Amino acid sequence: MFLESIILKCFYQLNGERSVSSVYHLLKGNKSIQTIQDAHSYQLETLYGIYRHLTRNSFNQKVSFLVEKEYLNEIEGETNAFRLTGQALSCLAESKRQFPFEYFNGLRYNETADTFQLRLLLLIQTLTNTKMRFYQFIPITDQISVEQWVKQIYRKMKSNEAHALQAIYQELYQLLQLFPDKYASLFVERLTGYKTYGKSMNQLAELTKLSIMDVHLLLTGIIHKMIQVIETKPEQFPVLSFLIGDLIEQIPITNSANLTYQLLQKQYTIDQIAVMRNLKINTIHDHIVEIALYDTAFSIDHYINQEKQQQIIDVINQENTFKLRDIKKAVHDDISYFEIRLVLAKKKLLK
Amino acid sequence: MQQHALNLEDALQTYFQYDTFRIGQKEIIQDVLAGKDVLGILPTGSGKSICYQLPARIEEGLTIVVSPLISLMIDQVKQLKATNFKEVVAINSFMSPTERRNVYQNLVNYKLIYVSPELLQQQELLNRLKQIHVRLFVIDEAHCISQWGHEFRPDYLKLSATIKELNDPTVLALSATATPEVQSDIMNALEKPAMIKRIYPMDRENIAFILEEVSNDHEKIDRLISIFNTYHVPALIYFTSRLAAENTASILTQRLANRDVAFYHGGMEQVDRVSIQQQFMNDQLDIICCTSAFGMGINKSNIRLIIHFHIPLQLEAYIQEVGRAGRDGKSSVGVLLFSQRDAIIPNHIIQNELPDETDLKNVFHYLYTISQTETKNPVDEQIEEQLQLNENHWKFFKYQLEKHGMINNNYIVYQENDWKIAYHSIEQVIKQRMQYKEEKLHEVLSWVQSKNCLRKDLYQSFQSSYRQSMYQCCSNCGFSWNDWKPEKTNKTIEKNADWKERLKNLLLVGETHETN
Repeated sequence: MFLESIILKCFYQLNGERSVSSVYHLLKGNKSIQTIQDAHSYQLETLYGIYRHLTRNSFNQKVSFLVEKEYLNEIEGETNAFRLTGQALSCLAESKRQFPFEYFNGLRYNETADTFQLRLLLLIQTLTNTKMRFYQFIPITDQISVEQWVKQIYRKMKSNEAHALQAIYQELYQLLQLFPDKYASLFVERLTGYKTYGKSMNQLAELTKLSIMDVHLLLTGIIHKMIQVIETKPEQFPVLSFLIGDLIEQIPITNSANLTYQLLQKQYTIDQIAVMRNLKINTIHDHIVEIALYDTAFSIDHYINQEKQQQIIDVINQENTFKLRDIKKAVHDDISYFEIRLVLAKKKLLK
Repeated sequence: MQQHALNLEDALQTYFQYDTFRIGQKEIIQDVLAGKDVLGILPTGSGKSICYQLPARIEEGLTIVVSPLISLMIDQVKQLKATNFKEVVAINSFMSPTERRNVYQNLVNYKLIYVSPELLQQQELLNRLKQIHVRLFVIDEAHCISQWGHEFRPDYLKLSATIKELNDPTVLALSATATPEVQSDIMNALEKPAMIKRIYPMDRENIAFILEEVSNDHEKIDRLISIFNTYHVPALIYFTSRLAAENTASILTQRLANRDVAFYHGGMEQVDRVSIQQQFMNDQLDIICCTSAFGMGINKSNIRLIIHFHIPLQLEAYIQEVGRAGRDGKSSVGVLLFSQRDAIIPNHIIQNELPDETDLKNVFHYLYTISQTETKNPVDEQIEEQLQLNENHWKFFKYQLEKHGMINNNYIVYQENDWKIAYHSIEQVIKQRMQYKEEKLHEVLSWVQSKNCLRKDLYQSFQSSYRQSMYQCCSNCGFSWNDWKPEKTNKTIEKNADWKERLKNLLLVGETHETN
């Protein structure tokens, strides 16, 4: 029921202002500006991208199930927007006691988590096998970037596998003690070592009597929580923080937006950049909104004057909405969607 | 002039740690090293891959292996790397663009490249390959090139053009299954009529064939339970649907005490697939409920039982799947469970495998509409979505449309008369293939009804003779379960421990695990 509760939580936060699809995109971690902006505007940052393998089909099934169970009610006059019913609210409250919603930090960790986990799995598999002088094992992942990374750090550790394993053991032990036993053991069951193979998602589901999807979410949550602890006390987790090391600092903007940013910094105009990169003006606008979302140092004053900014902020406060369409209706005609999105992006960070 | 004057047996020993070649390997390798094109038909599990891996290691230049299954490529690359052959890579659609670019820029540093037929059609990769010396071009699972093969892949038909572009390297086409008609189809499609044929018999003398008729799926399950209550041996159960594999695995888990059961299919995430495969290899799992995605590239030698829960669609597929039993030469058994109703399901699958006339009409109509627009540019994903076509159906159409010149360089060329001719021709192709598949299914159904020796009937259309069985023969020749006494699995039992204990054991911490 974890996934169902998370979906309910999303609809609750969205307050009927956004469609079913936006929930799906949010959980998938869609990189569009709209989705990232939704995450900020509706305080859903922690749930952003926590289920990247979610299929449209199984998501739709869950939503239909929730509608059928009368947890969700379609809002009249709006297609595909839903509100929670009374019983959904109490169900949500109950499942917050049952499941660790607070583990997630999606917007910050959704990409780090996968890589961190794969690196850790592969490093443990490599060290334990080579310690036992067994070199013909089949690696648990074949993502080349992960393989190469592990290869590099393995070179430094290989003369002393026992020592490295001891260190990993101590750090993981310390870390896992912060979790209830059932979650700690879920994490450990997934690990692969020498002649011991981790359990598949389905095997874990059978073991815990949960659905595969819930197991998936729990593991993701556990990893997020682990990374958060490691990040706050790196000195206590020298090996594990090394595993995360290079992943976290990256500003999470797309490569394409980053390129636009570099050109902006060289004082090119939006029109020039569009021509240079053979992109539409709208796409460059998307990039600028993305940059404004992530880079606190980025000033939007160059693109929209203070007076217009104030007008938009006033409308947001008066109408109590983040919906672009509603804001656009209420502001002066010469204010564009791009300008509204810029202010929304920036305002979230000013808070 | 070349270094392979060296003894091939020595190379085999050095690189693969085998003392002797298995049947067919040496002949094929010698042909390939002499620059001759070869069509090699070798039974499943006979070490087909050595036929190109050994030349790739000892020869200068690059070996390209075209393979239809990503999981298979990845497994092979992993196994090769584990034997310290590092200049190997599988280029596939799972790679990130950055990873792919990295590989592309370093192509000269590889000796063996696995690639999917789709990616090989990409101009960027092709251009880069043209710049280096391609020594050997291998087509794995070559029956996929044949329209009559049970796994026809339209992309394979473009390989002959690719081979020419790569300056005609030596070609090695390999398959574990090919009827004479498929063999000639392969040679025609590759435009290599002079290929040397190296055909080896695929019959397995240590496997007994059992057919058991039941009335419905319930009884099938009951039969599984009773078989597995008697026998504790490594086993695979094949299904034609992922869902049936999952469901049966869960029923067996509930109803069988002391047996560990899991499912495996192409829809699972990578880490899970490796885990399940390895648990099975390591005798931690007893039974895998799987689809045909499992088994390719698996070299577990002591699988004793292969059960088919559903009727296979072609005898070729059956021979391949059942051939995964008893690679160690010990007595093993293949069981096919069927009920009279079963013929309906495969009919349905066959119909889904091919597009129908409505699809054909829709495609023509849609393309006409686009041809009247400015772009004239069909986009794969859009077409699949708009017309509700699955990927394979659209690929099939696209190949046909390109063949008829209706699509050229991804532009639609509208000529009313040509389109009419193309329409009828494609309609004919669909009909023919449907008919062929039905005939193939019919062969399976008549094999299932046969009162003759099953071994004889199974192999007769593929080879002129077959060996007598080493152990029991088949259910029509009086197979007795009582006389089948395979060795019991020596199971690796996982200790039940709390997470602290498990973590400690797993990370080999503590005195018991100190080596040296």
